Amino acid sequence: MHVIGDWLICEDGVIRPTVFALVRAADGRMVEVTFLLDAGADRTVFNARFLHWLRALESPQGEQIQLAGVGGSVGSITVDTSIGFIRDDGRVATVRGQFAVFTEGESAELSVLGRDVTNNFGVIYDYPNRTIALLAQPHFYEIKTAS
Amino acid sequence: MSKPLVIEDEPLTPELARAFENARRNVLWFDAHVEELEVYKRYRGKYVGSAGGELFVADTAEDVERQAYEKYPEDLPHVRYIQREKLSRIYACHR
Repeated sequence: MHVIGDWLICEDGVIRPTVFALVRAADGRMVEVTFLLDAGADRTVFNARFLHWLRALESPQGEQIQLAGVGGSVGSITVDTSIGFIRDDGRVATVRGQFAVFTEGESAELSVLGRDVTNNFGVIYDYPNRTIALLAQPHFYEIKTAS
Repeated sequence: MSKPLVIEDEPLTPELARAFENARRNVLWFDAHVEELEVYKRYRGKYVGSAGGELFVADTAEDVERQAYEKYPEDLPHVRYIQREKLSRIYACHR
């Protein structure tokens, strides 16, 4: 399984690693989501743009994910939904489960793809070669020494 | 405690293929035009979206999506929030 990501231009020309996907909204519609690939994030979080699409899928109170950053806790709700990533072989890798959604617009420009999802893949994060990839069997990577 | 994630391999239906292609086109259009349109200079504190080869701007995500869907009902807009200030991001929480 090979999902290809992109280095996209973000704030003021900063190029950031991203992975493109579709998320299923409460009305069944698919909505585009570009995730920032964040190896340090424990959880996948949708930015506040998705509140109105996903709020109706909110999980029960006892299943809410609590989020915190460097400055303390941050407002979010937890929703049950699915995220589809297109693979290089023309199939779809669908991830179903519970994900957080920021409740404040200024929390993030893009949604964040965290280790709850990326721990299921080998991740290539290569700025010099402008490569982003999520890999699972039968795909793998190998490190070689140039001769 | 949240439930474990489930990852499944699924076929790409024609409907999904169109959705991916359409959404991808808007992401790439935004990336190709973001500097030329000075998005990060002109629209701080706004939501911006790309659809049908156009840029849409509004104060809320709902408004920018409404504009895009009204003009291009079959399109899947790419939408971002442009932060109010230019700062280096470490994804600390906003208080």
